[in-house]
Amino acid sequence: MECPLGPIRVSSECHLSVPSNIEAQVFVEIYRSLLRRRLIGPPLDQPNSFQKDAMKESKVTVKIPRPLYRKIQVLIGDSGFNSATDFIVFVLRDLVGRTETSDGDFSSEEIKEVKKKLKNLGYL
Amino acid sequence: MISPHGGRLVNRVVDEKERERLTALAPSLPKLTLNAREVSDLDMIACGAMSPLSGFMGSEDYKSVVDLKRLAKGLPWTIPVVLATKIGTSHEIYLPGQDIALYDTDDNFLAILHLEEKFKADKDNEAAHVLRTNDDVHPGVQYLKSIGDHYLGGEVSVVNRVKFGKFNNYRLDPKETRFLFKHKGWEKITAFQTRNPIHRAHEYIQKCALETVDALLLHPLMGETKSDDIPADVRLECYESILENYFPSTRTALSVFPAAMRYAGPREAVFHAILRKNYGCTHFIVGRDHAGFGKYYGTYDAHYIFNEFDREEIDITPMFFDHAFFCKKCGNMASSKTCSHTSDDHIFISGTKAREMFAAGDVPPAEFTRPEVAEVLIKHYTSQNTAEKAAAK
Repeated sequence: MECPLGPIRVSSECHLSVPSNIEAQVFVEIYRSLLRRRLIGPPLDQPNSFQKDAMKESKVTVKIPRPLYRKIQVLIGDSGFNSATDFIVFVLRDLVGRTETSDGDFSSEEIKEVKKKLKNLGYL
Repeated sequence: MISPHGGRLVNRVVDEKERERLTALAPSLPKLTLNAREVSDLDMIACGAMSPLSGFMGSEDYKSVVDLKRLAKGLPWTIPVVLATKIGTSHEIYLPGQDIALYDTDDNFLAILHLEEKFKADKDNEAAHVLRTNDDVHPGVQYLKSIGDHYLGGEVSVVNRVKFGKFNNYRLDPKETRFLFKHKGWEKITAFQTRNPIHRAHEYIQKCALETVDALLLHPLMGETKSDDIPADVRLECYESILENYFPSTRTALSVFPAAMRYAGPREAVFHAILRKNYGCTHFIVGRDHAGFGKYYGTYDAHYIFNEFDREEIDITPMFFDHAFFCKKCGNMASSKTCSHTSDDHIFISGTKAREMFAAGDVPPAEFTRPEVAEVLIKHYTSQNTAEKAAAK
């Protein structure tokens, strides 16, 4: 019988098997009781096929000229960026963000104010 | 971007034209002075941090929240947000259907309450359910006993935002943090709630969380706390020093959370998470004994309570962390989940012991707290001692 709440983690290696003669509702009660007492962990996150596809597509490879990549590696030095990729993602997000943040919730005056506030904090 | 709780970010701040009208009207209305917690709540309703609330709760929402941890329409909500008034004072003049002018204790006009309902609070039931105790020692119980017995429910129209004396540069409304996240391209943001200075254990769980998300919003609570909690300005100095020295500035933001502490443990953990969702955060760190006080809540009750809700209805993802420490055998920070050694190998200093060390000018081990944080706290405790000695003379 399959657990109505999904696979159950007893340890990282072991899944709880459910005797076939237990009613689903009874099992849910037992399961919740064990969960409350922390004798077992919550259901494992198991991505469905849609989520798996989304995960596959969450990152793409972009090619840039190697000399530019080397220059970026030198540029980031001790700046706190862990890699050239981190730096490039940061710069691109900043650039893309600037074009996207014409937010309907703000008037143009308010946008100026918010940007000023965030710049003063060093966030923009 | 994650949707606000209830789907829409509430804005109860009136426009300029309405502001002029209500300002002129206010002197002719019954007046009510709010305490520090109510002022915080009002400001958070105004800016949408408490979405979907558009005012102080009426009896239906109040009862449902206290008994069922949900608003009357079913949305998860675990803490009553109410406005109290005392019998025998000016209580009788407040009648449903009236507009009431709300002021702070410095007599600044803040808002109009459109009073829909006046009802008697069931404080014993509220304390038993929300705080899980009726013990007078609990600060939440003390607060309930200090306020009036009747609650006033209704929408608010906020005319003047609260003027906070401190940290105004760090005050970001939900729409401003959402703007920041969007502008930075951060999709997964975890929020860290704190009312204490950051020691290594806090830093460890923040960084563990940061490994799996795009950014960390350090969101210290700056509303009313217990008198023996470390003052907000000292805490903020600790956060600034630790962020400057130990966190990636490209993936971290600091902003203050204007809520007042309830010390309601697990219920407050869910409340804090929901409010951070309104700020645009997708994840929320829940450590041991979140928002707890004394021995009133189990160490991990603030984790278990999230099991009472479907993941979709809370939406923001809680990130649970166990007790963290430095393990001498492991040679690194760890938690009871990741370390197999006994407490003899763990560097642990109790709050009381740490306070004694700071007051004596002793720097605790770097495995317990960063030297920059220790410096700020030593300065605070030694000046406090000097002031106390001077007062005693």
